[in-house]
Amino acid sequence: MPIIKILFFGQLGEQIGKSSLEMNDVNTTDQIIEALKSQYPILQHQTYQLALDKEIINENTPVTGGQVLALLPPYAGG
Amino acid sequence: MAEHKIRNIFVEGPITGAFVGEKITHHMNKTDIGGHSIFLGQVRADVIDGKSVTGIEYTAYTDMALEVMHKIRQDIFARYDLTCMHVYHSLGLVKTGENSLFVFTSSKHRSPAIKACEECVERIKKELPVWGKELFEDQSHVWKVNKMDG
Repeated sequence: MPIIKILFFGQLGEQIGKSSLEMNDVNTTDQIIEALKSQYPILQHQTYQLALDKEIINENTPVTGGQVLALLPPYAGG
Repeated sequence: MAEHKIRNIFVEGPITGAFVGEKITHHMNKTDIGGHSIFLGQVRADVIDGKSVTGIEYTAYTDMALEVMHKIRQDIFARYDLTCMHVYHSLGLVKTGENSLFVFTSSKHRSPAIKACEECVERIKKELPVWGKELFEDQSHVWKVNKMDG
């Protein structure tokens, strides 16, 4: 079964209490986000960007097994 | 000079004056350089809700950050006539007054080095997946967010 790895950075990892999890039975990034929001309602009120395999995505995108989806809250480097 | 390989930019803990001095000294044998531009980011003792920041704990999505930095580096070398460019960013705890970012650009004449340094810093602030937890004396914290107007 295709497994997608989800990464949570910064305050998101702190708020949901883990830095990563794995998900299967999902075909798109929208499905993943909906599933995450129902599992972790706190995500409904957070600002973040998505990166699929380290590339920023701005629209619903198909996913396949082995890919990594990262939730990136606002940056604070420098 | 073209830059093709992905380089690590992250260092554990603060960027020290000694480290910066050493990097400057390393360029003494590059005698085609006529000017360097240096930016040092320093952790400020911001006061938030009456409490002073004592330090910032930095984390990053390092794999992605190094790829983003590689792209920034390629773009900047394409736009400016630079001899070289070095970037270092801290991870982990950097206390108030210590340095967390070091951008160092060099060119034959001053203008490309100065402009490239500024552009590099702005892009790092905007594009690099790095997060900072601002720590207070009472062990509480808030998450820092970069201002886009500097």
